[in-house]
Amino acid sequence: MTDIVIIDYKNGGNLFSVNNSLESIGANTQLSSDPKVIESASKIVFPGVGSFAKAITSLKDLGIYDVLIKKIQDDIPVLAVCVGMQALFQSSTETAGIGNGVKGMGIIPAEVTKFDQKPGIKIPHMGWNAVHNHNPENPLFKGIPQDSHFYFVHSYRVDDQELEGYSKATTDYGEQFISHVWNGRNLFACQFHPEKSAKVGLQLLENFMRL
Amino acid sequence: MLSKRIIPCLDVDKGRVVKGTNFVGIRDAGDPVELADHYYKEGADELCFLDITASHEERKATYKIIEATAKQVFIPLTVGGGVNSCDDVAKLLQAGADKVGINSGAVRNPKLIREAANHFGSQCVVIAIDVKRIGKSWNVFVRGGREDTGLDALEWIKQVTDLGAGEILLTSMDADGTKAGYDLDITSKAASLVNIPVIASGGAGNCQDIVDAFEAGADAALLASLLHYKELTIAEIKQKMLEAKISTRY
Repeated sequence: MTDIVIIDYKNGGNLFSVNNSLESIGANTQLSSDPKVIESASKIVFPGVGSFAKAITSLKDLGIYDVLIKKIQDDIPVLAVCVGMQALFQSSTETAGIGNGVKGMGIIPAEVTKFDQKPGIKIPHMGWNAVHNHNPENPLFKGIPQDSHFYFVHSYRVDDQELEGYSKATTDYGEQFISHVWNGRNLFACQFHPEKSAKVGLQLLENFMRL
Repeated sequence: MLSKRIIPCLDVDKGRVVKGTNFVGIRDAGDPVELADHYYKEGADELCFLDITASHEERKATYKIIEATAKQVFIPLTVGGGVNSCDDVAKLLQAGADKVGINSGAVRNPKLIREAANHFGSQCVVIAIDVKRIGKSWNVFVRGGREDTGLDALEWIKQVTDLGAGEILLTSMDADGTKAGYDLDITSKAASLVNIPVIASGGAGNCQDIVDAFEAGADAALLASLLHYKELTIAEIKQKMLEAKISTRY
């Protein structure tokens, strides 16, 4: 039986690394873009591939968009990664150039914006950075010390703000931004890539698998 | 704060590691997958394979080792060597590489940088540049350092950045193999010239050399024989970085 369905939203990106990392910890996984398979999933990974607008448009074209929202509302464990995390928000300034007008899923009430240009701050934010202030109750971080380093690659982020109903973890990059959000129940969103984050990343994925 | 990265680099020919390695406790020191796994477990922040396979046909071995590595090594993997088209980039990414290094192919056809960046995202386009000091400046060399292009290195670095490169892998041919330290001069000039990461390569002889490169502005340090011959371990390097108050993942 499949434990985890990885949403393949046909964006031309590399989903193998998410799949490889989950398989390495013994998860039964299935890559799928079939709404029926996702509908019946008991756990979902929503990976980060491509741009914000393309992600949303592909989800809609494949008929996955509403299914995914329903699964999140049904309290099925969902792990959203990178652009997957961003897609959960209301909108992104990434759509200013291409895909103008494409809105996010609107599950988390905030906007995704680009890092501010500052001296010494290179964009994209690429490499290993520490994740601070995760909620000690957050089951995804079980056994993972505060301030552990995870691997990031992104130019857009959710800047630090109150997100009502969510607990957050933060990362410093010329500012403090939100690198993880948890709704206190089933929805976990990571701006970093656990599948590229060595031991702590695998630990996080294993925690998700054991939920 | 973003960590400075330590990147072991393996030269691979027809699916085998060349430039001998000197490991105890590894079943097959010529197996790139085993070596990659060894460095992963030792705390490498990323890995780099430089594919020096000459013939197109024999490159299939490279894809196989990338696939096998990506199944057990969960840090970013860059693969370079012989990349001349978007199709070459796609094949390496499909095999499981996270980033692709382009060297001579970018000099021959600079448009390839923009095409690859548009198609796959800047973050996976690493432009590898081999430079040699000529008087007061540096020239870009291609074909494994055999051919002087006459291009000024700093101008080329600026140009590839404007075309959409996500990262610069900067190898000093003068320093390479000397163990006398990285060329800090070109490293710092490059790092202050562009707003994308610069990976220093060539010349490291000890931990202090690596610290010096970071202090000169490098975002990452590429290491080969120093690690392969066990002259240094990644743990020793990171310890020294901590002492020097350089941000590192440990």
